[in-house]
Amino acid sequence: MCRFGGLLINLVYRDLTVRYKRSVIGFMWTLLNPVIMTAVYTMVFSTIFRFPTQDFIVYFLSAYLIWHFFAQCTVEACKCILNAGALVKKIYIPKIVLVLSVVISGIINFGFALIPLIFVVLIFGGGFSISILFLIAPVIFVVVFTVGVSLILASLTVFFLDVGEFYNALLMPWMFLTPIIYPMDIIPKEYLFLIKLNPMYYLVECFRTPIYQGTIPNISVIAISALVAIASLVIGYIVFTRAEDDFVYYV
Amino acid sequence: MNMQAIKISGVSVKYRLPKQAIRSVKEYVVYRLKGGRYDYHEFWALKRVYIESARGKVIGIIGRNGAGKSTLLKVLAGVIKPIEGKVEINGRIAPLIELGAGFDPELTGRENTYLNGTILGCTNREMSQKMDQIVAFSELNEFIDAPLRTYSSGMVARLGFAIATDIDPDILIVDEILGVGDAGFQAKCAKRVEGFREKGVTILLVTHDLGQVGKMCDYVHWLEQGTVRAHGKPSEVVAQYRKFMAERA
Repeated sequence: MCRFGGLLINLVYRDLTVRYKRSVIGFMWTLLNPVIMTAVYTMVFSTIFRFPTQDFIVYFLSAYLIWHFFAQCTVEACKCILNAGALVKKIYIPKIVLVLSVVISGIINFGFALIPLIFVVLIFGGGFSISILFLIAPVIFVVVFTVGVSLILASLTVFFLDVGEFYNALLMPWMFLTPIIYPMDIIPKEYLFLIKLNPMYYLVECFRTPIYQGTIPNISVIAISALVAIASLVIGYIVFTRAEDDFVYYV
Repeated sequence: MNMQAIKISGVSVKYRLPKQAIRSVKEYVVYRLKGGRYDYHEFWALKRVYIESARGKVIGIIGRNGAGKSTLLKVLAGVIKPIEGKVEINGRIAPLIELGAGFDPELTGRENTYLNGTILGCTNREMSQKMDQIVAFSELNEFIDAPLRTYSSGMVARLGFAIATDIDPDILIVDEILGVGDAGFQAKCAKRVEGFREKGVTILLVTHDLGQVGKMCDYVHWLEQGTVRAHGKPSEVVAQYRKFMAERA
């Protein structure tokens, strides 16, 4: 496996250069999506609908970046084995490297997308408190969770080509079931369980609280985040390793 | 070292192909609702194959189309896992089956060299050391820093060959005669393969060219319907194979 560390680096390098090489503004594309989404949602929900959320733009962007990282990686992961079909059919590589390279590219994009977040917090929010040091934990949780989900989706898509389409359709309602745009306290009590069943709620909350409220999140939120991350990774790993020997017959 | 370079013991591969061309969740659900069963065609691509080779030997594999030659190569390359039996390989294997696996048209020749090298199991540092040699052998010179999509197919093949043979393999898998590039480059390739042989690299040659088998190989295996039909000295096995083919014609 460590023999293939170089391959991992080269795949990430390829992902990033091929994506940006032929575009004029290059890496700026990474920032475009979160910036536009923030502008649109801030206008719609803060100005038109007049959500009572204070510093809506900070509230939204800190959560949306986590969501965007997760969504982007998992959508890419659906196709990653099929796209490398020629390779998988002809030569041995540890196939998990293909999935990991997608997530690592996502982490780098996420890193760039933090730049607008910093500006937004400095301009519209209350600045940073010491609790931002805690942010490393939610980032690890969400990365681990994303790897797990990516492994599952990558395996399934090899056997059923339309898994990606189903997943894409699912992402929109899933995003709206995650308190990214709206505050938790507007949810009627009887629907609260829907949110609490959603693993992304905990991960998003875990990342947002230190930025938006300047405090460490609730211990139960941290614990559940860690648990869903580990559970996702374990299930993803089991699914992937059981499926990977058959990839060659389907790609 | 008297360790065998290649030892294939009792390897079987069973292909399990779905009878229905169902490749989507939608089709699967509809098919299942109609009460259809999901079953498979099974056939043995390889059945209990034993092949051994000492270091530095040239082993030939012959057989008709569909006899299992390509499957055998894929098992050796680690692409397909056999359902029974064991494959032992001592040393680094260079499959000259697929030159330039994973080449990306948008990357430059140099970037592709790193990518392809690491796919073959080298480190980036090793590739940096070999870079000059690879550029020289592939005759790409200043084009090495141009995107691969600007290359002719001959240039791509030359680069692929240069990388695959520059990683100091212990075992070389050659499928068919190397039809890479023009006559001059082909001669260079043949010379390089000959050089490997002199250095004691084990070579596994898969070909339909029986003359080449007789000239190059130390030992030959004849595959027929997934099993080794005969093995032994090239002259004898080739004679048997010719007779078999003549009877069928």
